[in-house]
Amino acid sequence: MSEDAPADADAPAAGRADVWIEKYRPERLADIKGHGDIVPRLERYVATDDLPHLMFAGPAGTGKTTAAQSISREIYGENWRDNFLELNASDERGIDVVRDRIKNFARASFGGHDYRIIFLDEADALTKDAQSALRRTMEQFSHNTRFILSCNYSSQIIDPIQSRCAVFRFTELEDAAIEAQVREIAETEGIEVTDDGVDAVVYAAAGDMRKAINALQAAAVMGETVDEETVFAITATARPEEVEAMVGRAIDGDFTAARAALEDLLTERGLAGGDVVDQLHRSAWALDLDERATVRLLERLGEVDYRITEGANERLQLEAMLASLALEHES
Amino acid sequence: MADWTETYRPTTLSAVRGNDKARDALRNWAERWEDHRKAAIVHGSPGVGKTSAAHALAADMGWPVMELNASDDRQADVIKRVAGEASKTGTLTAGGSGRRLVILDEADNFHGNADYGGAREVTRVVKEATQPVVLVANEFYDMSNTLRNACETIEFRDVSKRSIVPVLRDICRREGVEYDEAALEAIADSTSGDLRSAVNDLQAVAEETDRLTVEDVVTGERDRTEGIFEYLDTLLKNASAEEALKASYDVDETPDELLNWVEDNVPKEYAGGELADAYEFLSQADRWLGRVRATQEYTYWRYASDNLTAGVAASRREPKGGWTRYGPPSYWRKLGQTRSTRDRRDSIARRVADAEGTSLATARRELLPYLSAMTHHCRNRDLTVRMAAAYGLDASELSFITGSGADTNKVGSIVEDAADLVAEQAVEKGGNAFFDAGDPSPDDTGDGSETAESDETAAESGDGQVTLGATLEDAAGADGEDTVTDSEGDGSANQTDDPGSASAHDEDDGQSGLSDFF
Repeated sequence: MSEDAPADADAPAAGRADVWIEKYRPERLADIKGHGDIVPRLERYVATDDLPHLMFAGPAGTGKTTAAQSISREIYGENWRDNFLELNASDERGIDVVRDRIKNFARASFGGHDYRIIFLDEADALTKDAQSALRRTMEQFSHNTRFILSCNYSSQIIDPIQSRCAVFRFTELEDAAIEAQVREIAETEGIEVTDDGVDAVVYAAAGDMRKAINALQAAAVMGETVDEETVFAITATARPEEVEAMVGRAIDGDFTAARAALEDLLTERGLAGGDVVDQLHRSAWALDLDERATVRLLERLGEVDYRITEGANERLQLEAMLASLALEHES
Repeated sequence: MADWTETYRPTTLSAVRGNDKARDALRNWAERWEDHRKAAIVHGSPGVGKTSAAHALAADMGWPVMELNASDDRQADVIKRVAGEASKTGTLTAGGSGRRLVILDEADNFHGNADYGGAREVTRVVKEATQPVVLVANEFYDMSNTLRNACETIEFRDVSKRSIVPVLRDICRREGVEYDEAALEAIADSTSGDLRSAVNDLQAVAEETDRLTVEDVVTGERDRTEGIFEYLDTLLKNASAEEALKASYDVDETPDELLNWVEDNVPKEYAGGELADAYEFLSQADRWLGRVRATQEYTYWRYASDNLTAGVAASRREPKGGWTRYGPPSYWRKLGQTRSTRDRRDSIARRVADAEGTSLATARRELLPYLSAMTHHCRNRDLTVRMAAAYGLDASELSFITGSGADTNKVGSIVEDAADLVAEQAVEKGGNAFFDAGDPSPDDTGDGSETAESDETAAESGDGQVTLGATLEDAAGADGEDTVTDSEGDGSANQTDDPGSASAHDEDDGQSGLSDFF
């Protein structure tokens, strides 16, 4: 992709007019980072021009939409948009959309290709009735239409539909895949990213490529070089070490210091209570606790999370959680 | 290249595999149609060949097909126009018999707001049809009682591995795909009775390699039981808490499903204090699932996962060894088996509710248990006869309530006496057979249209609940309780038994299926 580098890459404002998640969305299956087990099989479908109905299951930002669009580009080339209908089930859910939009698209005449592709994003948002309607539609139009369904959990899709699809599981992207993409974009855009900056982006993204690229672009806007500090600031993320240090003090019984650290995160750094919970949840296994204490901490974090959503005071809830950690050492 | 499930769809009934009995019954139904003029309900799990068989039948009989399915608008007037017309008037163009076959696909799915009135219309069309009608359905008991009674029933069972493998082999030969026999067997194994999935998997794998081997046969979701068994082994035997959590990311089960797996299998490894600890974590996980349901806040799923993976692993006092036979949650087995039982319960409750003027829930919760107790094992015969007459119960329904075997002479004679009683009352136009101050409208009194209507209304209000949310809740909540109280032996007794006669195995079980639900 480096050949796409704009000639004036050294002018920082250059690529900034585009949204990078769109600009750097891979156009070919081969360009997709990670998913070494899935991509070759999808390429095979394209190569043999023999596409079954597909179901992509996995969390956000793992490349489901990208894979669907890449398949479509490879099959239809330039005019892929004409042969690719993208519907978001959570926007247009209900039985009517299944019946009308899909049918109209599937029925519309088209030239040159044996079939068109309907990509139904967030298919698990469809009601059961709509899924039932969909299943027969899939079969009815299978002579000229292929469906690609995306969902978070395949188990939310009714069995008759699963039975009609080849199912692919998109797992969270590995850090290496995200790092490779981040470095590639940085090079193309001609922005300077420090190594700890890359690590910070990877950490903040937590397996979500979309988040990583957004973080990189936002951080790039902030200044000449993208370093750890900018990334953590832009993503409202604390350094994992800070979080761990805060908990460490609490475990050691120095509640005042732990509370001061929490105060800093919430006020100075602008983290929301939920952000702190999320990070603690990720860092829990790195703490100096035995595993039963860790499990208790996780459950307690859940309680904090739940109570905050219910309207409790996030600072007080987190403080209570920190205070309780001292008990782990005593017992 | 086409979808193999379409390419290799059987074009004649004799090519329909794995359901010989159902296939013959279908042909027989069609050949005798001029005599009995009833519609047929073809029901069974997804992918076993119901729709294929219906089309193949039409081809064999030389009948043109008129097809309606849930992805067509199913408002009453559409159904009346299309199916009503098609079934009343023969085709002009088709020569020969002038017959045509009306296929109503997804006949169990005529409910929901979009299809308001559809179900009633189907029942009417089916009754008045002058052309053969085949209704295709997954869930037999999702259809109204009236509709079911008006039709001949043909059940398609899950296709056995023995029948799937030859189909795959045949396709391989025709596609020129080389294969190892073991690979085909692995595919057949992993699709558990779903022939269509098997063909899909075959196509997916065949495209990747020149020669199919067992190693190739690992297709996405459908390998899941393998993954889950390995996971349980790790979780319960020796994984650290952190390992247990991380490994669970690779298991494609939602926390609710995983909870069922773990809960069911943990006592096979843990005992005493560690089991109690593990259950404390499972109970916390369950509370998180409840919070997810209540708030729709799916981020809480992670706390459920923490508890049920890391928590359970951390509860283990010492590593376990050896080989353990893990099984799928008995509640699933139960669910599969009791699906028809639950539907039967609801179908009875609906009639009781109609007759007594209560809600379905009240009938289920407050009337059926008493009826069941009063008529236990038909000991009070006279009362049982009157009950059967009042609610129009057939032998299997009677068996369900009383716990006596459906095929026994006892039950048979009660059903006969009840029928006599109903006839007698119809003549007298007299009061009520059961509960002296009640509504005398048993189903069998011959007033077809009225009964049908009230039955349908009840069916629709019931159907309103069959949304995704309710189903989840139902599966995870109410039915979860069943698991706890049901002994395993009971659940595994009749796994392959015909759901239509599922209650038959309750013959000696004084509790009958019913008591599981209270």
